Amino acid sequence: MEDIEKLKVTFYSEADDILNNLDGLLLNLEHDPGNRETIDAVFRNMHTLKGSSGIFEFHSIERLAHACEDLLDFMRTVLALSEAKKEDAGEISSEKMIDTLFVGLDQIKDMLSHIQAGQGTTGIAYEDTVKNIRALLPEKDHQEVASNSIRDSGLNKAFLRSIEKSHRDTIIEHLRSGKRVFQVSIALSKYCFYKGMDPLLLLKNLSAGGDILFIISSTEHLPSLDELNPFMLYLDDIWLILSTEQNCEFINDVCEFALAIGDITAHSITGDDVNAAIPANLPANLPANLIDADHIESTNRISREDDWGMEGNGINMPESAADSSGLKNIFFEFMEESNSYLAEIESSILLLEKKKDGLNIVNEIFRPFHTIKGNCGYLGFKEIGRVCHSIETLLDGVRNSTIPVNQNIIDILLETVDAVKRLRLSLPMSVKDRFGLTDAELSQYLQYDVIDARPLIQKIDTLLNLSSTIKDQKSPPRIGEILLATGDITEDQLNRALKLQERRLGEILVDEGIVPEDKVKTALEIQEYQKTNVKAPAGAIKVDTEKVDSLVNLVGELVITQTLIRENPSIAQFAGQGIQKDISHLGKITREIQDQVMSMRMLPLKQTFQKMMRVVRDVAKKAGKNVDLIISGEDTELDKTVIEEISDPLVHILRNAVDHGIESPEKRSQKGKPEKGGIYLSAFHRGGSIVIEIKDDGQGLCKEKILRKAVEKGLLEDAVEITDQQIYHLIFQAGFSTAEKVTDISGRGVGMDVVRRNIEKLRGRIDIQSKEGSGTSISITLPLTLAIIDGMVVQVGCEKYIIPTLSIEESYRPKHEEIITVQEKGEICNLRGSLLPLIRLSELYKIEPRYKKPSEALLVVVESDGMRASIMVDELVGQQQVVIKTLGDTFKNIKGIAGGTILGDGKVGLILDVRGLIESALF
Amino acid sequence: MGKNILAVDDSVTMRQTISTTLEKEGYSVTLANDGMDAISKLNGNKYHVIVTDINMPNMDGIRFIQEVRKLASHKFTPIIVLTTESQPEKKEEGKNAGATGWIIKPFKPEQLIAVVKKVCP
Repeated sequence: MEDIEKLKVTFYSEADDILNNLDGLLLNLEHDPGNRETIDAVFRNMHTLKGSSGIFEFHSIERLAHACEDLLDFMRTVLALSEAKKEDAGEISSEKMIDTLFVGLDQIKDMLSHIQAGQGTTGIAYEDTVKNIRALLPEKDHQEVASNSIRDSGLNKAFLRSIEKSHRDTIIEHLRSGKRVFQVSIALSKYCFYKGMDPLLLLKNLSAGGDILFIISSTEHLPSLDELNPFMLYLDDIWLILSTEQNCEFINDVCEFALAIGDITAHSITGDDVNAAIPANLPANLPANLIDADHIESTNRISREDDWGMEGNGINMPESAADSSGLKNIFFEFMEESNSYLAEIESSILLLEKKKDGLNIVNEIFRPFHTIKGNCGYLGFKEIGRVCHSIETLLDGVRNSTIPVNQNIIDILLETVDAVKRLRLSLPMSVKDRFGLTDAELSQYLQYDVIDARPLIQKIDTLLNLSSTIKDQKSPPRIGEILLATGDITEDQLNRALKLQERRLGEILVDEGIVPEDKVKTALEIQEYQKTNVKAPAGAIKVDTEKVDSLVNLVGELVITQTLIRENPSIAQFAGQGIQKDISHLGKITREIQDQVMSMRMLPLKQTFQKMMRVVRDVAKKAGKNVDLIISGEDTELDKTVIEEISDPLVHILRNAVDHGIESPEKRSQKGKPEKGGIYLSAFHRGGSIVIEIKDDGQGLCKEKILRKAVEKGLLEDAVEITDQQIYHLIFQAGFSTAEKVTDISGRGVGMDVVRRNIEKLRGRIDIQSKEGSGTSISITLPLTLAIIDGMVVQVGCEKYIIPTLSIEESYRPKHEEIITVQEKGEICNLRGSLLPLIRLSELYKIEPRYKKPSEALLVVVESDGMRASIMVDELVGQQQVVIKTLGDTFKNIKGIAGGTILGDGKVGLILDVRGLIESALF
Repeated sequence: MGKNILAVDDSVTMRQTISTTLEKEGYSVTLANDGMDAISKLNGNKYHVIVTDINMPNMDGIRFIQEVRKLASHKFTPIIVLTTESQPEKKEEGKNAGATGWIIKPFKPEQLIAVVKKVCP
């Protein structure tokens, strides 16, 4: 499926990021083993890897990530335990565990790259790692999650008996036609709605796979309408007959989630069961068929947003006194109950005042009010009921966080409690006749006059209205509105303050002493929170590198074409007609586009550098050295391809630095150096290029040793005059190594020449500085981009060549006597004492030059890899940025030419390969 | 039919998988990278199902579920947890926080579709 392939690409990219993160995180963990946040972060990353790799069925990665996850979870648990006991958590993440995690991480990296390359993951010993991890963990009772399933409760004969004949006949019919018939019971928790579970949905899903032939439920707990809490399930026992072609698995599947919050049973019934269940008399307490199966299809969810008012008179009061004793008892019970409820409510409010949050406490206040309200409805105590209803709505707002808990709310709650208390105590007098209370019975209660609860109800309602208007607004509410809603200011105060609105409202309110500072602060926080919820869209998009590459190419062409137009003689004749200005403008825009496009391919060195930290750590450990890698300039950006290619050379140089550069801790302290060696990896801009520098404070390069080795290998003739730079550059020769010991890591002499070649490929250069005993510094200079180089255009005869500026040291006109001809070696120029070979491009490329004598021409001194030469040209045309075009396969191997470009006059200019030229001149 | 689903997961692969799978079935899917992001998307919008992971930065799944259940607009919206955690304790925690159901990763796309259809036909 094509989608899968696209998703895989996303996965590979994401996995790459995760794996890089993990490197850094594990390194951090190593330094700080007890760090909870780091462990959590590593866990999360492993967790994501596990999940994602599972989707694509990369089971090996999944298993390994899972094992790592388990290990991390263990580390987390131990850490939490020791935190609880306030013990030192130092030993938690033992070195072994972290090393194992590193191994696992590397294997995952390997497996991923194998998979991406289309190979399998056999051969990567991840099973060993999994085993090792298991060994580190304590025995776990492998509770594979026992998923609940439906019980078989056996035949419910009473239920069957309650089914009327017509329905029973239908059941028999279905059985005869080969369908399976189940007796199903559904008993969900009354809070099921709070879990997003709707039994109606269960019934709908069941009837989607079969037919519900009969269904009843107990309405025992169904309260009267005015007492009904729409958030609760009152049908706690639903029984039904389901006819289906599927088997019990189907019922299990439908009820999968419901099983977590309730009990569901199913039992297969046969024709005999049905026939045997002959009803004698319908038992009085069995409810009638409450729900018609046909209705289930069309019934929609009951809307739970309706308002539940306080209508209804409650139950009918019996006339006869004979029943009044029952009623009286009910009244006494009510008085008792409400008394203890009010006490409960009061202490909960005080607790809320102290804690200010806590959904539980609010519920503890809500429930008793609700019960009291219900009872009042039942008994016809309207006033109390209305008060309770209002406060319930308020509490619901608090529960939903639409109304914040503050002193004002607390005060209102307490006020309400007082009001209800007094109303309660005014009851006996007012209902004396209704319930037939005697004077003696009356006297057991304190007497209170009836109070008017309307102002209180009004107050609560105002607060509710204000908060609901705020809720409906689309834009974040203003401070004044918030403070008005929370009751901290009055409308009056708000208006007065707004009149002074040169200052900000909040300041004014505080200054005038209208509102305490902390209230304003809270309001500001609310505003801030609402504001930041409008998130700005993400600022980055991922683009195919192919698209960017093609764009770079096109821009290159654009630059060339623009130059062609500019230099075109037929355009030049229109000087002064405004067209020059336009072309110049076009040029400016083109350059800007070029810059932008180039920058699209730029990535910071950060990731690469951070990878190096891992490398240094691993090598140092293996070599028994104590080294710190300090990086800087990691935000420096390089072209994407350059970054990819620079990684290996850096790794090699760093390996050498650790292995051969930095001395062992003992040697270092002997020399008076700190035991910990330092390697400084930095990147910065210099003169239009990027420089990456690797400095170490190790033992430096030993010139003698290098010379000796070179002579040994026949790379050099004895006693030849050679500069320091040239000596150092000898290490780049293939097979060169002065290492006494060839270690696992380095010393075979295979590395450095590969390094040089890679850097060359990138059109960069390497410079080495070293001081014996103090250390070595290697600088890699790279051009900002690959496609464009900074070049000096030179003219020889009628041809133009481009010399990369990176390689140019200087240019000058020599004096006649500075040029020496040496037999069999060609010409040499003496530049301030140094002898440089002279290269005549005219001879090399068979062109007729303008100047045949060096003293009339110009010499451009170039340098590459420590070797220098001078190139003779007629003149310097100018310095410009040049778009490199390859010459194609036919001309690939011409020595001395690196590529070509189209110059402003439309002619081709060849780009010189300085190193190639020098080599051919010297050897 | 226009049923809206909110999917919360800090892994971009997971988000895209959920989105691709469910959009093919005709659902409209909104994505969020973590609990905080999801909460801000819930305000002012209506979703018929929420699918969420547990292990996320900034606000983990359990807390996210608790916060959702506080919102009047989504108090009774089915919340499906999609996670690799299979421990019974974690499931219990999720249940108490208000989760409707639990799918263990890795999952097949068909599984996800079936579950979503179950709670939101």
